[in-house]
Amino acid sequence: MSDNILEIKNLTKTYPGVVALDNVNMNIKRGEVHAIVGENGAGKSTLIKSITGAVEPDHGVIRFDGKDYRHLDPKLSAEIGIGVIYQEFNLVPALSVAENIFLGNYSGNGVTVDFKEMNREAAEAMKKIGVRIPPQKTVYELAVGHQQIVEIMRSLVKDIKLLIMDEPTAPLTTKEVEQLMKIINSLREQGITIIYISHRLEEVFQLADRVSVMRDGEYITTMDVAETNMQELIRYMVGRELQGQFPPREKPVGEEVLRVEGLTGNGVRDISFTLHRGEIFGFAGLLGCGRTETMQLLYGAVKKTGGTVFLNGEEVDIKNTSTALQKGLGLIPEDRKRHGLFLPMTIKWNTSIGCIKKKLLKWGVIVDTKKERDLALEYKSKLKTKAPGIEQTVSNLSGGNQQKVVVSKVLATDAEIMIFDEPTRGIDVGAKQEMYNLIRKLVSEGKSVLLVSSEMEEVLGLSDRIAVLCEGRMMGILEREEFDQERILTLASGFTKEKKGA
Amino acid sequence: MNKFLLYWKKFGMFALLAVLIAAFSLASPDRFFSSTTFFNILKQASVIGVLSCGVTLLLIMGEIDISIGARVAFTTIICGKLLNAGVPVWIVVLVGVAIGALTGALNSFLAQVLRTYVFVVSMAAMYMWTGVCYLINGAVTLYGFPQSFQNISQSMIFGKIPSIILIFTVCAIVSGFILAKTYFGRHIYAIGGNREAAYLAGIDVKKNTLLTHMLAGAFIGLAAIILMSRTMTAQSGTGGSYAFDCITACVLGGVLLGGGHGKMYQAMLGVLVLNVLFNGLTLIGVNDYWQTVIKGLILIMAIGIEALQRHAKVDFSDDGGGDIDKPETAGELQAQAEASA
Repeated sequence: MSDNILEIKNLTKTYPGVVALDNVNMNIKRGEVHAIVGENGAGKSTLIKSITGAVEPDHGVIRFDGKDYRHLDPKLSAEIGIGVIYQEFNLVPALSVAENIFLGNYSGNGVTVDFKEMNREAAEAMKKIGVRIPPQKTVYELAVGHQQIVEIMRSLVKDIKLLIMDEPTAPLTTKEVEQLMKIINSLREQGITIIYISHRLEEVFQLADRVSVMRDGEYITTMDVAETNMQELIRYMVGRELQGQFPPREKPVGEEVLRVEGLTGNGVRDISFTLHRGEIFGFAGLLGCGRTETMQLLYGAVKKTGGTVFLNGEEVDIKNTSTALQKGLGLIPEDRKRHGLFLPMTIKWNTSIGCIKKKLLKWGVIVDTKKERDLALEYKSKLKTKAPGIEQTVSNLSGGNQQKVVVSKVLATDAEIMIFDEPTRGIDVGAKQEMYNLIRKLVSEGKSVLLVSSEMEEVLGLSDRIAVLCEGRMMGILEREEFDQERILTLASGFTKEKKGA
Repeated sequence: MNKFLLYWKKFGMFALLAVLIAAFSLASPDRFFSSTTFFNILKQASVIGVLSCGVTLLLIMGEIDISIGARVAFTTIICGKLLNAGVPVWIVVLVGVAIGALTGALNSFLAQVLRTYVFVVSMAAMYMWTGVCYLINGAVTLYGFPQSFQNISQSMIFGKIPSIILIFTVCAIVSGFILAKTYFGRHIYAIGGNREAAYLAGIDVKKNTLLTHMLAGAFIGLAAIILMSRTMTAQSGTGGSYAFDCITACVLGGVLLGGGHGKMYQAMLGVLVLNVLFNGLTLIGVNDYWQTVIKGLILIMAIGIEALQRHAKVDFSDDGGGDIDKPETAGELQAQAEASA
């Protein structure tokens, strides 16, 4: 089997509560461009990190170039010829292109660096793949696309055999993407194997020889790109049926509580929608499509540059988060540890911090500790937060229970419209189900919910309507009768019927 | 090690204070442990103590202001000029407190407008106010203030307690109360603990930051007044190392640099320990230069223990797992940055 440069055998990696990789087997042929696709959380990133040694798998063997490795580490994987381009670049912005390319092994006599020689070598190496960036140029002056090329060059000068690219086109402009495609093709001609991770399926069809699908940490299948099509690929990616996690719910007929018209700023443009009392309004789209950004605008966390927002029929100007809070908006942020919680503080402290000024004071300034305690206890039992007591430090709680504390904090402010941004990210299956039940309970009590989620089944199962975003724009709003995973994925990848024709 | 840190955090400063008092009493049994010495230490601690009330608020909010000494000097010069011009004492006191508050507000305002750290702004403010002092008054010492001004710090309340100690105590209690019991105090902890989360929780971070700087400034103004009243002089060169003395005391007491942690009583203990230490060292005849060296060593020790506590904290709180999506989040942020560029 020497025509396989990389064989992954029985690779398993579990995190507490999550199986990130479940007995994955995959073969990569020498010299091919091999795409790996899957929804968010399918395990692609963990797989890559196992190959580069950034994470250590629980079981399994990685056979690279005819040799078995059980434990790779980043240094070893670089030595045996595996290069990787992560989404975030590891460049030194203040150094020149050539210095970055040869970082750590400069040409010269051991004391001084021969910059002339280094620049020449860098230029030559770049010429090989058909790019021309002045080697003396400082990296921070370069556009993102060129920075990425420097990053690629850095791997290339080390004689790599396999280059892994994790979502390389995510930060690039259309023109830069074209250039990257050319580079990848020229690398293939030089016999370098490429593993290419992307959410953009069109790229897979343009570029890859074969494509593997992952889902929920499992390897699903590998196909020749020539023998498959977009529909089949999406079907494999989506795969599963909804498993009774989401019992049917009456469609709410409450009055309109929120109307957004032409919301613009923060990387999104012209977002319009309405939200009714008791409704769950979902936002779907690929990573970076502007869902979180829309929520930030709405909540006043980032200033909008255009558009109007109406709450209960009245135009409101939400300049900052305190206004948002007063107007009855609440945000459960995407990154709970960074934006949602005060980790070293107790459950009680975290629960009350948002509403202290509003309803926990006596004599206008002093915190009424009894009221505060009652409030914390009330929400702890209402949300069934599992912890020994409300004096427990939240950093010691599990992800699911931490999330409940965040929700408690927002509920305690008496928010009427609750924005859930990725409410189940990084929490285990049981806690997810609890979160779903909680959201449904909240809307049945008359709250209204905006739900951002990258988990397709979550959006589909919970929402009454779904807006699909792509690159900061609204691609469409689907009613429940129109819900269809493939349709959402198609919209989210930027394919509209009009576009397809063009 | 972690156990030691835990105990240290809880009782360390009390123990250290007790050990120091005992040690110095043994070393100089006739002089040290008398009520006079005790009151003297408290008197000497008063200025740094009142300043530390303000500094603690700022440290817990995650900010460091090194312009404190210069602002004390500026306040004394202005107030000294006013007193010499015959302005009533109570007005001078109010002006002093107001100068402290306004110079604090200015630091915070500039930091917000320039989108930088108060630390950086306060560095500039330090030079500026020192310069302004010399411009107004040169290197001359102002003196000849009215007796009633001296009474602020040097009278006896109830015939027994020096008023300066009473002022110090009241300041410590008031600032401690604000910090521990009011919503404003909560907001200070929230901003220091996690600025972004505080903002997303609906706290007006800018306003609260400004107010905290004003409050801290008021303590600085008051400290300047009692300093003047105690020495009955005003000089441009006053207060050179006050900022660092206060930070040393607070950090030694257990107020973490970086914000979100610490209590007022800890800072006050830090102030007392330092004062007892240097009083004791003077009494047993350690020379001034050595005392300065020791001050440096103590700051290193305090920061070292603080760093250990912080790292221990990280280890305790990291529950592992659940974050497998992190890189994708980072990618998302990057894409977002790209989209807005």
